Amino acid sequence: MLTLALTSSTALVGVAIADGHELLAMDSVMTERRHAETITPMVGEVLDRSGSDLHAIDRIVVDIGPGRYTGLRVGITTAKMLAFALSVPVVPVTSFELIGMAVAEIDHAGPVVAVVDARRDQVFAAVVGNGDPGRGPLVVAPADFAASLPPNSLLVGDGADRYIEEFGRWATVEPGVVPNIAGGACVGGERPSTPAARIEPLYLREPDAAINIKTRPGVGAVTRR
Amino acid sequence: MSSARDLFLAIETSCDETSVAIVADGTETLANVVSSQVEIHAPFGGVVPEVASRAHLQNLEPVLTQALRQAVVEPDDLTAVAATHGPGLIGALLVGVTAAKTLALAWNKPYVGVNHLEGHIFAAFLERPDVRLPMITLLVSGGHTSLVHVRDRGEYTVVGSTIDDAAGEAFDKVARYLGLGYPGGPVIDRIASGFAGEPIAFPRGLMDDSLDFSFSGMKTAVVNYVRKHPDTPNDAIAAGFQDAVVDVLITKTMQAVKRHGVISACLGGGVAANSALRRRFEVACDDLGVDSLVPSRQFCTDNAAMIAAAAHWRLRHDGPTPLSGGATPSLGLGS
Ligand SMILES: [Zn+2]
Repeated sequence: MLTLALTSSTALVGVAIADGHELLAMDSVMTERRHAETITPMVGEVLDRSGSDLHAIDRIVVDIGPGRYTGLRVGITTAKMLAFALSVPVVPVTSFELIGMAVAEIDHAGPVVAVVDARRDQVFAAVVGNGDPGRGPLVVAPADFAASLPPNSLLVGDGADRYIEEFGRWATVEPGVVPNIAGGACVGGERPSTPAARIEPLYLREPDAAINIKTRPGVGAVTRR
Repeated sequence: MSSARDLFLAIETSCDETSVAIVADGTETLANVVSSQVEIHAPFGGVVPEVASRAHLQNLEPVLTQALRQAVVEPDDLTAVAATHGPGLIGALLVGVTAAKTLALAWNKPYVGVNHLEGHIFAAFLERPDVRLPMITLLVSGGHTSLVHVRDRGEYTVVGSTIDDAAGEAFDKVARYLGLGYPGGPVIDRIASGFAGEPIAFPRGLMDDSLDFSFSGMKTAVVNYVRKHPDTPNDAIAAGFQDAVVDVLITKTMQAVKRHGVISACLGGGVAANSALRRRFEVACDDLGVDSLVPSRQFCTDNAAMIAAAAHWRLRHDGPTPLSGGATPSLGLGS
């Protein structure tokens, strides 16, 4: 089972190819705004390095978020179009899961929580290890989230990094943890897949204008071209 | 399918239309599927960028499937895959650009990034491949209002543009003020068309020697008039406002035609769907003895066929765009 995996929901753009549980090739870079510029050539390069032909790919694993809206759409658009062109199904994974995979080897007794920067003074959060898996995904202000953390929590992800001072008083933060796309490619073969048309981003929040319209109609709209 | 033909698949997602087209040899439209988001944005009274981006992602695959089916084209038959890479809303543009680049990679075809404004210019060639150049193109929509001197394909000079609002923006604002709904252009067009009385005379903005436009003063004039004459029916105001806008657009375009000595004049952009503008544009061109090009409405408003037509020429002229290409929200003509 040849699996191609993509992530671009955070500042990390990553591509990996695995044959079953064996990683064949991967690449990733950190970029603030160049997700679209980065991901397409990276798919081509990782394919070349893996020695596999694009048309031999059996399924596409894609990070469906939560995360940055634009980056998220770049990754999902890439996955949908690859699946369309190759007539293969897609396996959705969350950014929480991919971040969790990055710390799967860490020995920590308490709950492990993936925290993704949601901008607008909020974070997305979900328990990814040793805790109540029913907890999350949350969209929450960092201060409220910090105060509600169970004892001995380990926080990972770009949201944990951003609010490290706030969270550090209540929990342990392991900084610099990014989605593990190689891990995503290696588990893709055993996950349930779905037709590409059914893949939707995990936005977890309405567009600002949709929130504002209840109180301030017209705010956030631009005119048509 | 004759393999001698150049088949271009193009994707347009710069604003609030998701469109995929397949065009043969830069002129023959085999499919031009457009999914409009007007209804989704209507409650906001304008296009909301994040809402538009989300809808593009949802609409893209069905629109793509429909275009390929309608054109009866297999991906193998394609020459290249193109997308609008600016100007427009960045999040919206990136859906189309990423889709086109990915398809190009998967199908092993060249990718071509296209300037949306150049697309509007090429819309004319879809129906009139024999058009004689040089020409003046009036690009008029909710996002831009400009006069472009088209000396040849790929050789453009913007000779006039709006110093404040775009014409389509003024239509939207006046319609909103009068409580007529959104989008403003079509509703004002409809009301004005059905009005048989004497339209209110509004001042024309910036009617000097320059080829630049100003529409914000005309919108203010409408507001002031309604304050002073609150009982005037909406249709007399809408018809008067449309008259004033069309008058300015026609006068400036014909000034540009004379000044630059061109032999054709062309309309493009969403406001080019306005029936009064289309009618008067043809009459004014006839009066000056220049060839008038008024593309059918489906090619005036945002569509991917015009992007495919421009891509056909761009690929031959510049070669493919690298897969590391992105999108530029403020891309200008000639840049
Ligand atoms: Zn346009």
